[in-house]
Amino acid sequence: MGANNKPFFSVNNLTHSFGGLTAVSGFDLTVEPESVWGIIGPNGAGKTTIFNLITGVYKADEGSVALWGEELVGLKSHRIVGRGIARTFQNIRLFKSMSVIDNIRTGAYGRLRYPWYSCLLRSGRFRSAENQVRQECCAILEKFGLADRRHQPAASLPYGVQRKIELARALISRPVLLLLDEPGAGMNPAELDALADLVLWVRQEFKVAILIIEHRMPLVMKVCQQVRVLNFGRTLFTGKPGDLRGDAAVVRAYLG
Amino acid sequence: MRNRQWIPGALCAAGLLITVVLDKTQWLDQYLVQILMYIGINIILTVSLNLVNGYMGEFSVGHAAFMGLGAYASAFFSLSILPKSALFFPAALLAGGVCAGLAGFLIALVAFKARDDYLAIITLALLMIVKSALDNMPWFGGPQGYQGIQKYTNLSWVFACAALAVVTVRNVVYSNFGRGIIALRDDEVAADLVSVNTRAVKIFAFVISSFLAGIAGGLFAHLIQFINPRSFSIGKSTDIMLMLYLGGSGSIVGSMLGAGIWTVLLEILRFCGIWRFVVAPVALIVLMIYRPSGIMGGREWRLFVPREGDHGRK
Repeated sequence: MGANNKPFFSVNNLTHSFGGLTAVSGFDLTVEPESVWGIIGPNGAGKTTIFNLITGVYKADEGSVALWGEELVGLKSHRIVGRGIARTFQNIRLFKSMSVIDNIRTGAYGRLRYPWYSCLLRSGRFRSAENQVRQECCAILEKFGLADRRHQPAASLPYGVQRKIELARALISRPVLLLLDEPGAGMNPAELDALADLVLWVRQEFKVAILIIEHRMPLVMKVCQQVRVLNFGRTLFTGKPGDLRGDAAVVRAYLG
Repeated sequence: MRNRQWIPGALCAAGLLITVVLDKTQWLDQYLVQILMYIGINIILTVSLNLVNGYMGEFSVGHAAFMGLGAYASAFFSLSILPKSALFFPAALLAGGVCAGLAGFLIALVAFKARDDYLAIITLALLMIVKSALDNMPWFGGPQGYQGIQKYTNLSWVFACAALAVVTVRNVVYSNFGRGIIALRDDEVAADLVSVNTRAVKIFAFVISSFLAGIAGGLFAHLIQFINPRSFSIGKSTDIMLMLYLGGSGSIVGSMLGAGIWTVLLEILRFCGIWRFVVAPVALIVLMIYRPSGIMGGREWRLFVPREGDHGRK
């Protein structure tokens, strides 16, 4: 619970439709600090739409999204990141022409505040701010074991490494809530296992709550404390991952 | 590697010294000086367009309009407002730059609601608006042109402005704003979602770019002493774009090479008469087929990358 008894992160009655198609309807969620939630569901269940609504890519038709009781619906994406919600993407979206460290530094864009003229003049303020962010980026790369790759072009690196870079880019903005959109897609069981450890490590190291959209059940079982199952934009199940298999509706819709 | 940070500054100082001496003594052939000045002005235009069309990956075709606004504004200031003295030339240049920058700001507010082709169309419209507005302003000479401008532009002014333009663009590119600019070229949605204020970044880049084009316009006006609206039509914009893509967009050195090579090429081909406007574009087509990313292909000379502890060794 937050300072004034406001929930850490809460979504109420979130609803969004594209034309006549309701992608998300009446979605509710309350997340505790530093907890890990899994959101699963068949394709088209509205999972990524929920992430897009939370991060301001789409504006919700109805409902509210609040962090520490402060409303986020209607804010621009970059402001929402500034409030402390960062995300990664289903299909990795790194900046292709940039080096690893520049990708990560771009994640600190909103935190790096100096007036435009100090960048033209390379003033002391500019240099100290840039230096500090560069050191933070190096530190985070060190933690991810990528320090010696920082000058390589991000696009040239293997898939798993790109995932890590994307994660580091999200974390450099100092989020309190991290949204991971299918981080395990395309990974083999061994890689998936390593990813699960990575996610748990990230939660502990960076003290973030995590929302994961994921198809791969081993990952969900290992990292999530709570699971939400969606189908056609509606909630089918909420509970512990261990209880999933016992739920008739979930088995019918999803697990088969 | 040893610290080579002093080299760019030393080059600028040496260049300025040389150009001042050349201006005073007139050692160089005046025709050659004229070409060098054209190269300098073209470098300013190309480097500034590079910020928007290269690094930001947008497609503005209205660069000549900002140059024209800068040319007319600075000519107006030096003819009608400021005292008639070469001492006030920098103020006139600045006035041209600021007017162009303001126009750039207003255009950016509107234009960046659209992207790609639509931005091209909006900037094309701007080009036409500026040209027909100037055509219909009798106090600026209308289609006959604006006359009686003093010749204040000399080699050292051109060099100083070109060096400043290059440093400005370099400083923007290698900053937080620059990373924002490149990020939104690579993936605008992702840029927004990792905290880049994409709208502010676009406006910032566009204003800097148009301000510099305005400065180039001011230099141009005080060099040829006679400007008319036709000097700032789509043909001029095309020229600037040619120089940019010839050198390779997304590279400061590329812009400088492109501006230099294209200007010299057009002069060398002068003996061809009107045919040079055929030969030169054909040369360009050949280049685009065999090296579409331009001479530099997005790479940069080390000299133009500011050292910040991390660009060099550990």
